[in-house]
Formats: sequence, C-alpha cells, structure tokens
Amino acid sequence: MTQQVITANRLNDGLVVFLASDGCWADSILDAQVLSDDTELDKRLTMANAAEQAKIIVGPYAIEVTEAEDGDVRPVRFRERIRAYGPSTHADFARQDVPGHLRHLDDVSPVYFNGVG
Amino acid sequence: MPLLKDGKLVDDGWLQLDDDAVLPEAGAVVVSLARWQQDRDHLIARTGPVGVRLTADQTPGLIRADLDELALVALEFPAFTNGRAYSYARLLHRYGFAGEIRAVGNVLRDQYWNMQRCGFNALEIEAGETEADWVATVTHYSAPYQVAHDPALPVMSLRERRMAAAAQG
Amino acid sequence: MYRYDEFDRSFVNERVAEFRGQVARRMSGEMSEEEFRPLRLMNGLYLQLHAYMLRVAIPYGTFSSVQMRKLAHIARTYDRGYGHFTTRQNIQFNWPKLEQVPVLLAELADVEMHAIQTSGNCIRNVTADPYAGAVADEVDDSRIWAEIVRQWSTLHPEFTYLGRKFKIAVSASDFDRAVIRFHDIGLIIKRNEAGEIGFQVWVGGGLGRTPMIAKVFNEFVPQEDLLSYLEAVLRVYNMYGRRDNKYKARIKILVHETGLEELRAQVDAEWQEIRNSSLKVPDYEIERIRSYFAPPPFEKLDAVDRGFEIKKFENPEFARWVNGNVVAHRQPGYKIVNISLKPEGLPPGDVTADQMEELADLAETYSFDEIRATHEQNLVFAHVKQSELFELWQELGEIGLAMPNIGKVTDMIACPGLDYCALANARAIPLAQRISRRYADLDKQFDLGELKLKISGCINACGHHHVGHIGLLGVDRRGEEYYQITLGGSGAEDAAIGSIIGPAFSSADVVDAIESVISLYVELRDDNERFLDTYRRVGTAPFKSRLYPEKLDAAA
Repeated sequence: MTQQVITANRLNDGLVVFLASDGCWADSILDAQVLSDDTELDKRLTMANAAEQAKIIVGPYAIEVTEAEDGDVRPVRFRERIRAYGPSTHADFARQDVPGHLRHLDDVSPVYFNGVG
Repeated sequence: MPLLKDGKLVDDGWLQLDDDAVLPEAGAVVVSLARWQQDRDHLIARTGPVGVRLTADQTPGLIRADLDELALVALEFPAFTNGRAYSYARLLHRYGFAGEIRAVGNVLRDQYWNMQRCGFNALEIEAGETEADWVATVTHYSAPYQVAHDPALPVMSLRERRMAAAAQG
Repeated sequence: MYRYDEFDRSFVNERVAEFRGQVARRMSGEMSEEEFRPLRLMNGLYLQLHAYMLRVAIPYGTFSSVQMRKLAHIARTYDRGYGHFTTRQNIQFNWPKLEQVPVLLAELADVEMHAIQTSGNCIRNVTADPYAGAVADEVDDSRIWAEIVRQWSTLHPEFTYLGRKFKIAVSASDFDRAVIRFHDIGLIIKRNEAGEIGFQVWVGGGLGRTPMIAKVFNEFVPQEDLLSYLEAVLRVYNMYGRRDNKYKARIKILVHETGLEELRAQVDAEWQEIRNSSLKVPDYEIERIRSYFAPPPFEKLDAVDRGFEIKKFENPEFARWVNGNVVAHRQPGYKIVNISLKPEGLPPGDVTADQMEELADLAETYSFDEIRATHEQNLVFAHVKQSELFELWQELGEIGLAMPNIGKVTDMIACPGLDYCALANARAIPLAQRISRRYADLDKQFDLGELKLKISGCINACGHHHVGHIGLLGVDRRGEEYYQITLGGSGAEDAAIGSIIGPAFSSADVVDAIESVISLYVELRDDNERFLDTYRRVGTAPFKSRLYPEKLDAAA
C-alpha cells in the first residue's frame, strides 16, 4: 500500500488537522502518523470516525503522501498540498505553523506571493 | 412513531397500511396512492376514515377529485432537504381540503415553522424529543416577512397597522 | 439607502438567536454535520478547504461607511485582516471559527447586515444594478424592488428547501450591469405606455456546467403583481424541478426539458390562481421603501467644472483614471466612480481591513456615506462631485486603489479557486495575478480597450468564465492544473456563452496562450473594435489556428 495520512477539519475552528500517532489531531502534516499498512489504516480511520462522533473533527479521510528520509511528509495530490500548506496567494496566510511550508510551496509551480512575484 | 398534532404530542389513531396488508373492517387507515386508486370504492364503503400517503413525486393534483372522501393526506419528506411537500400542502389547502395534513419521513424540528406556515397540522417525529423542543422552534420569530397559509400577520401588514394607528393619533 | 425598522431589526436579531441555538446543538453533538450543513449554508457558512468561510450579504450591493467599518472590524477580530468581494454583491471571510460565528453575526446585525440566504438551496440574496439611483438610463431604482423581493424571499416557508439554489437579480436599464440573463430569474424594470412600472421577467438563466441564457417568460408583469408572479414561478419549480441529480436541478434545466411554452403556461395557470390574493404589493409599502432611496441632497452644479478639466489636462494619470473608471451621473456636476479591486498582482476582490476603513472614510467625505459592490468584484462610489474627483483619486492612490483598469484585461473576475475552495480543480487567483503582471503596462491595456477576462477554478463557474470575452476554466489533468480557454462570451445585454476553443493549456503555457489570442485580436481588429466584436466578426477559426498550429499542419 502507498503511504497515507488521515486528515480532517476541526469542528470548532474548521482548520485542517492530521491524525498523529498519539491519537491527537495535529495542525501540521509533519506531525501526522504515516501509515503504510491497510489494517493499520482501517484501524486509524475507525478512530477518526469516533473523533467525528465525539465532535472533535469533521469529514475525516485518508490522503496519499510521500515521506522523505528527513521526516518531511508531503501530499501527492496538488489539492492536498494546498490544503496542507495554506493558500498560495498570500504568503502571510499560509500555514506558518508548518515548518518548511515555503519550501513546499516553492515546489508547487508557479507560485506568486502577495506583492512578490 | 410519536405524533405531534397542533403542537401537542398525541396518540396516533391511524393505521399505516402496507399495500399487501389485509384491510381491517373498521378504523382509520392510511394507504398509498396506488392502493387508493386500486381499492377506492372498497375503502370508501367501509367504516372508518381513510387517508392517502403521497410520495415527493406525487402531486396532490392526483387526488384532487377524491379529497371529499379523505380525512388525512400524509406528505412524505424523503429527506428534510426535499421541500416539494411544502408546496403540496399549500395546494391541498387551496383545493379546499380541510382534513389533517401530516408530514412524514425525515421530519426535523428546524423545519417545523416552515411546515406550520405551509399548513401542515400534524407531524410524525423522532422518538425522544419533547413537545417543548418543537414548540420552541416556532416561536423564534415575532413576525414573518411574507404571507403563507398560517394566520400570522406578515411584517408588511403590521407596518400598515402601525401607520394607521399613527394616523389616528 | 434602506434602513431597518423595528420589524426588520427584530427579525435579523431573531435569526441570529436561532442560528446560535443551531450552532450550540452542533457543537454539543445533538445535531450531526449532515443535519447542520444545510442550516449553516442557509446562513452563509461553508466549510471550505482550509477553514469555515462566511459569506455576508450586501443587500443589492449598497452599504454605508458604518457597515464598511464593521466589516473591517470583523476582518480583524474574527478573520485574518481581509475580506473578499464576490460576484454576487457579497463579502466573504475565509477564516472564521464556528464557535465565534453567532457573535460575529450579532455584530453584523448591529449595523443591519446579515448572512441570510447567501448560500443553500433557497432564494439567494437578491442583487441589483450597482449604478442604481445614479445612472441616467434607468427606468426606476432597482434597489426598491430588490428590497421588496428580499423581504418576500427571506425565510420563505415554502421555498427554503428547493432542488437547488435560486438567484434573482433586478435591473432597470437597457444596459445590463447585473448579469440579468444568467440568473434563475432576472427582472428588468420597464415602463408601459401608460407610464406604469412593471417587469420583464427572464427565467432559466445560469452558468455552472450547463450554461444557459434566460428566456423572457413575461414581457410586462405589473408592479403590484411582482410577488404573485415570482411565487408562481417558484411553486412550479419547487414541485417539478428535478431532484434526482443536483447538476440538473436548477430551473434552467426545467425550462429546457419542459419547453418554454409549456412551462410558461404552467406558471401562468398558477399565477392566475394567486394573482388576486394578499400577495399584491400595496402602494403604501412600495412608497415606504421608495422613500429610503430618495436621491441624496445633491448640490446644484454646472455640468462642466473648470478645475476638473484643468486637472485632467495637467495630470495624464488622473485623466487616464477618469477615462477608465469614471462614468456619467444623471445629476449635473456629479460622477459615478468605479474603484477597481484589481491592483496589479493582487487577488481580485480582496480588501484589507485597513483599506476598508479608509474606503469608509472616503465614502463619507465624497459620496454621501454610501458604497456599492459590483458583480465584477469592484466597488462604486455612486455620487461624487466632479470637482472633488482629483482629491478622491489621490486618496485612493494612497491606499493602492486607484488602478484605472475598469473593464480592461486586468479587471478580471476570478473565483477563489483551489487556494480556498473545496470544490475547485485548479487555482484561479494565481493565474489572475500572472495575467495582471503580464499586462501591467497601462498603455497596452488601454490600447486593448474593453476586454472581459473571467477565470473559474472548476466547472461550477463561479468565476463566470462562460461569459468572459475570454474565459478560463481550470481543470485537473492527472493532478496537474490545466486551463481551458473559451472565447466570445458576454454577461451583458449582448449575452452569449463562450465557445471552447480547443484542448486545455498547462499552467505554464496558459498565459502565453492568452497573449497569443490577444495579439491576434490586435492584428485583426478594425478601428476601435472591441475584442468581443472582432471575435464575433471573424469567428473561432483564426483563433484556433493561432493557438493550435500543429493541428492545422496535421490536417494539411
């Protein structure tokens, strides 16, 4: 199976979150638990659905990622990269809490920031 | 299923009859449109009132000629987001139907005000909800903006009254 | 402008209270997301890609400085310091927290604003001509009628769970500044031979994946019958509109599948049943609402202002802005000023909280405390003395909002696209930014003249690409952003749906492709001919062969 992480939006503020290995929902994709085993993925999705029942998150689903040796986790799909790193239109509104998000965005071509081409 | 009629939880005296179920000799029954059309004479001849249940794609025009024979029309909400039955309820009133108009299916309290305003007077609701929960949802607003079936005076009429009162001093 | 009376005020406060209860039930788990979703949408609240998004109505596009300051406060307090003006006279906030939305709405209610019916499968907030009450060519002030429709449609008990969204727009002129022909119902105010006011009713327009131009259902519905006619259309739609497929649920599909004549007959039959009912709009109510839209206290001025003419002569940049953004007012000595929200390289329609406050001050000083929002994601000061245009221009320049590009190639509509929207396939704003930089040269833009470029990030067409003279539609090709080009659309009185010109271009190539299209237009145009008119004259073939020369080679 490909590498996957589980993501959702938090109920109370709507922000994008990722399921971490301790069962908490982390703001940063770098803290997400990378799953590469079907059984484990199912187990974690069940946990995510329970979190939805528990009014913590909304709409959990798994996304495909690649994990580099240095621990960098990046979504495969373009949409999920934008979702993980924030809008590409305003550098100031991108997820500052994701270390290295600018580097990720630089990989998404082309990118233009507010006032900076 | 609990029945909320005219704002009160009441016992439902109507039997929902499946199409292949035996027709009881007496008592109030609700049947599908198909069964009504098939067994019409038999249903009228027996003792006890008859109601017809319409699905969301069966307009009340289909039973317009029969309304004098019916004491109840149940209008289905297959999902609370399917709002066709609001218009059906308005039409039933316009056709002169004076019996019970019952909302059945996915009937939730956040739509109660709409249903009441369109002329539903009975609703089959989920078990576990109180009368007070339901009644609270129809008292949110002091006045609606537009006329509908209910007697509530719309904002426009209230303005006219106020202006008339002001003119009289 | 319209001001709430006690009834409007309590209604909006009651709506806030109702929604506060619904949010509390959602947060406590009493209500599931599935049950909550339609309820929050009907109050303008989406859950988007990154966060919740709240769409606030600017009823028929008119708002005051006090309201603009409140929007600035909301942007700062509940969001990230900016707002985004949309194509339907709304402003969107991209980062509100669910738990704070009821408080936010209560703050809006304090200044007579709300988010009621800015989304959901209901009658959406009604839009109108942004020049209403200022332009010479109108039959009546469209906002009066938009307000009447707003009141009738607000929480309409019968039409709140329609098959799909339902948009109504009102205009009063032969010039269409409100995209009338692409609304579910478009109303054009007319005067009959007896001098009475009535409505030409267009039904069944829309964009989305099946774009359609509306058809005239009725040439003249008398003013007192407006609501009964609307109710007849809505009832027929609610009963017979498709519910099996959300992409076929708009009234445009019902018109198409039933046929114009048949559907019109159904509407007329229903209308006759209810025409003489309490749906008649009483004169006192029309006059009451009309009184709110009385002209502001204009000064008696000469049509020509010498100082203004000298400033134009002395300052070519100012002259260019006047030429580009300022249009005639019906009151001598006054002008209508368009404020472009498309500065070079920035997201179309975005305004920061600081800019909002400055704009509020400027509107107070220069335009009777009143601002308009347009469907092209710009703002309008409707009543500015021409003797004060120079000062206004300078002050706008200080906040970066004196771009003279109204109607030009860089005055683009762009939907939020994949940067914000959960439905999008590709980004729209960064593409707009790139085009804006490519055509940064104002001389070049003015040479090109009127050129409406519109970008949508998916087939739902929020960026109006079907009606762009040049339209760009973002598509996802195996995870890559591609853009399909359409040519020849128009959302104005010469309504047309653009034609797809050929296979989509990659994100890397699409700006060059647009430049090729525009260069070809420059080669082919007759004197002063607009892009759209050249396209209509020469057809698609020259553009196809310019964009896809290899296909011609293959065919040869």
